[in-house]
Amino acid sequence: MNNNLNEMQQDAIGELLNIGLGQAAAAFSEQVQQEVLLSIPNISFYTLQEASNVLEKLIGSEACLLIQTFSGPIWGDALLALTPQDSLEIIEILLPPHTEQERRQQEAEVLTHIGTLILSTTLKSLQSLFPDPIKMGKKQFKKGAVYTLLDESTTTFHYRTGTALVLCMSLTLAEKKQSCYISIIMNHEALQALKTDLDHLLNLV
Amino acid sequence: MTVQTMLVVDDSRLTRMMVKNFVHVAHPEWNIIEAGSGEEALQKVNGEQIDWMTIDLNMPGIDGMELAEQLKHQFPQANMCLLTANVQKSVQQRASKLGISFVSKPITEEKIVGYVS
Repeated sequence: MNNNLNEMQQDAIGELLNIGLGQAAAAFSEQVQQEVLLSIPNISFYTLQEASNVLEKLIGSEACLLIQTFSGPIWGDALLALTPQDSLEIIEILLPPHTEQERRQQEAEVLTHIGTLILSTTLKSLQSLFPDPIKMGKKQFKKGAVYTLLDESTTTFHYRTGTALVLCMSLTLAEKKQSCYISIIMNHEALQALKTDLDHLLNLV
Repeated sequence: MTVQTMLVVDDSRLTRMMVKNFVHVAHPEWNIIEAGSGEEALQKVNGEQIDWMTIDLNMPGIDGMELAEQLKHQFPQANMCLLTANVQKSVQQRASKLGISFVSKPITEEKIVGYVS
């Protein structure tokens, strides 16, 4: 099975996700009342261990993770990852009058709300490729070691020796630089479905 | 009708192709200069008279706003437009402050033809 995306397919998916990320940033910016800086999407094939290493380099070995599965014409896992410190600081921005204890109690609920908003808005950008809807499935908020969280919570690294397509992007709050890292992970079969529809889009241009 | 020259700066080749196609719907005689980065754009405009520009914001290297500022000095009479997926109010305000138009992605024929008409 050919896992590679050619240059134009990578360009197209990068641009579609860039559009989704821009809309997610605008929605997030309204919630936190400040500008949100966007990264450029990076597209790579990783094993579970490699994906874990990449995330650990960005946020350290401990993470707060929201995992949103999606299904339909393409399927996989979308992740929002933050450092525990950035997670609490974002809650502080969103819930300023609350005590630290109250913020810790509401962390899962608030980050699930924000994370779902960001991930579903980003994924919606891929919807233009497909006539059938991309459906949002189970979502889980977890804290812990990055490798363990990815291993236990994602469905796309089921075959541990295999690679998956990992699309990485980030949103960073302009004032104090708290960052959220977004990854969309798709297995080989989902990638084939995506490639077919990317080619259809490219043939129209 | 005068033949115009348009600079299209975007790190996405797909977007550059789409902009070029849409511009040629309205103005098939226009010259289009494509650049995949700010650095490439600055090299390619040397010795050219640029009349119209679309500039992406989020690119590796020089970002679109910085590039727009430099090109504004070089081509003060040109029509410039920030063409970006970053639809935050703060970005639109910066574009407005710089005196350039703002067009949001995803691009459509209507948006591009509207800009160059």
